[in-house]
Amino acid sequence: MTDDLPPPFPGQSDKVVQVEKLSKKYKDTVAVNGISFSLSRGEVFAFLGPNGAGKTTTVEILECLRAPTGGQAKVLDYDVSKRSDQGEIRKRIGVLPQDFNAIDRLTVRENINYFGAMFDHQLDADQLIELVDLKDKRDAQFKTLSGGLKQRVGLAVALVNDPALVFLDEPTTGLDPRARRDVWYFIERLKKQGKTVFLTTHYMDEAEYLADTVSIIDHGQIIASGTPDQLIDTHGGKKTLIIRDAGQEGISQLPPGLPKAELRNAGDLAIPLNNGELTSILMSLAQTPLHDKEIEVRRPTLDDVFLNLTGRRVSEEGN
Amino acid sequence: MRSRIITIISGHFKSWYRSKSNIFWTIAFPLLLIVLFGAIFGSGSTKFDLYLQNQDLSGNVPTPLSQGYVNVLNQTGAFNLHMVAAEQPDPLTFVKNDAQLHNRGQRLLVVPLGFNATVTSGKNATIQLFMDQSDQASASLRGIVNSATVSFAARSPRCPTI
Repeated sequence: MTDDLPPPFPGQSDKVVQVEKLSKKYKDTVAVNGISFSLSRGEVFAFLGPNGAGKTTTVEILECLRAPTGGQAKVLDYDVSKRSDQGEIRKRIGVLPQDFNAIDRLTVRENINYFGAMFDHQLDADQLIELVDLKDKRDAQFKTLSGGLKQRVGLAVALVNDPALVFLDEPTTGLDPRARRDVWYFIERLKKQGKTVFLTTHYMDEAEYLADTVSIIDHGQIIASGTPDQLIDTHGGKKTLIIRDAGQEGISQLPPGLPKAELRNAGDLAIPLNNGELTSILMSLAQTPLHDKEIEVRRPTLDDVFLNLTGRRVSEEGN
Repeated sequence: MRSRIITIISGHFKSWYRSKSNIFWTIAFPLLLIVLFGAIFGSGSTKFDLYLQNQDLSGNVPTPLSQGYVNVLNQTGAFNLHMVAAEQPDPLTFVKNDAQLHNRGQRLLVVPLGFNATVTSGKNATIQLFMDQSDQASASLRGIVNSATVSFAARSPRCPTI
């Protein structure tokens, strides 16, 4: 059904999104302050930041819903500021907005066809329903679905025009862990299909799990970019060796020459770990009374990256 | 573009009519209100009370033209005409008392003696309409009497004026 859709890339560029010094000012607040980034084809890009950091504003500029007040943004080589290009962009992108809602008393299938009818080319509704595993809810009215299932309808609707680029604005906010996993699974499927995915989230684990590239945004500015591993290596700090249930007396039982150990909740000992030190520490531990304790190594997460970069945790922002 | 607009309208309509409460509140409920309040308050007549004294008699029978005029007023369906006997010497006082007695509006229309003769002779005849100043229906009543008079005049050689 998409046979005569013109190629998504009129130019030869491999960049699906190119943003340069983009900014958006409202009356007396600066929502986005001169950010630059780009997305390659087939990539899952996560825009990570606390609420109010400017994520949604950026996404809405790229979706041609808001006009930027400065800088340049190109989506699929079309300029978001040019009126003539905006229609072309809208034809080729899929959007799952932050507060997705379909028509309450239409069935899943009717809703997908409803949104599909807004495009010149529409994927088959049953195929999409299968893709998001809603076959047994096909004829259920939208209002009867749970939050997780509604979000899946949203995903199907975002894909209804077979877009080259999909925007998912906080797709798992407000979902239970099980439903979040499901959404993650569908995003992975999209990636396998070769779609480019622009994801915004304030969940660190979500970005870590799904994204090829992460940009961390705070107060309208990008404060770090890279793969999750790069970010963790550069900004995450040291790994931590944890000795379970060692207790206060465990500190004195540690072999000499170790960095200062810290006592954490429930009597766990935490020791900062430099690269390459693990084996020798373990060997010296084997000679101490602590040799039969449970031992684990904790790798810093993107949460630690954010903490180190901003001095606060994302979750402290309050939702 | 047109098919998209139709899709939007039909989609929302479908969603709307699938809700029984929507249909009840937008269609059945207003009808119910109309029927209900109609039943409660609908018994009263919506016609205007109007006293009418036809002084233009010839041998105790109204002259043809004055009777014609009264018929025109009757045909409007807007009035409850209450005839006042032509012999009544002080029709105004009579109407005042009678209207209060029956809780009617105090309005009197007088067709004078010689109405028939004046109109037939081609002159302007005069009829008199008395109303209470504070009567809220006076404007509409006046309007109806006026248009009835005009329509009567269209069928007669001369125009009577109020």
